[in-house]
Amino acid sequence: MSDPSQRGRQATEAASDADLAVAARHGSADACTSLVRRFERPVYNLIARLVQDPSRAEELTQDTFVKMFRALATYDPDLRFSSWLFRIAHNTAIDALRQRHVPLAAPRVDEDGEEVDPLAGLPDLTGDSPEQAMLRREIARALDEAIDLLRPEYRAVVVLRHHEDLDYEEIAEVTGLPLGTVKTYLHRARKALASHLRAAGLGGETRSGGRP
Amino acid sequence: MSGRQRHPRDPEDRAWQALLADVPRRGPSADFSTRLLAATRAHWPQPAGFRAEVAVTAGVIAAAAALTLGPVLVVAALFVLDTGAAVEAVARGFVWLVGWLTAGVSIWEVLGRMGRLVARAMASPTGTLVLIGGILTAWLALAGLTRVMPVERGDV
Repeated sequence: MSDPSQRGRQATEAASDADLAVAARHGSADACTSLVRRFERPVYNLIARLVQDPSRAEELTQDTFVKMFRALATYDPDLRFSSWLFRIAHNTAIDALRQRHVPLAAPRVDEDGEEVDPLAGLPDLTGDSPEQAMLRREIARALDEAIDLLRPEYRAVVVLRHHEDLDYEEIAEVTGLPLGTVKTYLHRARKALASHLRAAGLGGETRSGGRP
Repeated sequence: MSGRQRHPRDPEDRAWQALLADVPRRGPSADFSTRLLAATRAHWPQPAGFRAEVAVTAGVIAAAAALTLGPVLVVAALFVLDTGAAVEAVARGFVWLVGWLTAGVSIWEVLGRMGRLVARAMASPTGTLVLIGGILTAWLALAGLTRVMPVERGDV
């Protein structure tokens, strides 16, 4: 028979985010630990992408979790916990950017009207050949650089959509932006990323009037 | 949000998802997890039992402090208000006690007289009310303590 505390830990690890949050609210140390361990990396990823300073990102991640624990009594378990936490993280990072007077409106990469399709001209990336694996790595590296060149609002929607798998409504709730603005930002961000890929010689043919 | 139906991804979204899947996530330094746990631990919510114990402990400490400091404060206040009267009252008390003792009255007789005075006070309507009030307060305090304190403590 396994140790009861070990069984408790396993149960905690298998619990849903909302269940963990409720248990943490009632003072379960295991649940608090699990929430930190489960979300420290996604929260850090979002904040680090926004503030682009690793040590500052660690400080802000810590601030985010402190705010989260202080506000846990107000969390509604009917809401998705990750979205609630990301909203705290996003606000914390945006406040930090504002304090550093980082412009949140100026575009930093090509956002002209040119429509670019990064998928057109790219070889099939689903195979396992060494060439395809190498190409995937190159594209990932180029996109990694390109994301950092986006303006912060675009970075946030790209990370929330494609790293954290939030849908548009959830992104709107996290960022406090209208749904239409979220879609516009995502569209422009993808267009800018496509331009970057094209400039790096990694595919994408310019199409007039086509979707990005 | 958890109850909301998630929209299926359109082809463009799926394509971008495939492209961005391999983009590395930013990661904190190696010992960050440990530091984060240590830094946030003070802000973790506490169990209700713990909060009740803290409240009871704080109440007991406050009551003990009040009982200890109360007479001191009364004496101090007397000195501040009228030092001469306070010194005179204390001196008279000692003179009265010494006079009784030198007159051949034993300390037990003094204590007995004091006891009789207290008993007479208790027998009065006011004294009875004070006594009943005290008993009720003590009974309620004990009932409250047994309710908020765990019957068996696993960590002892």
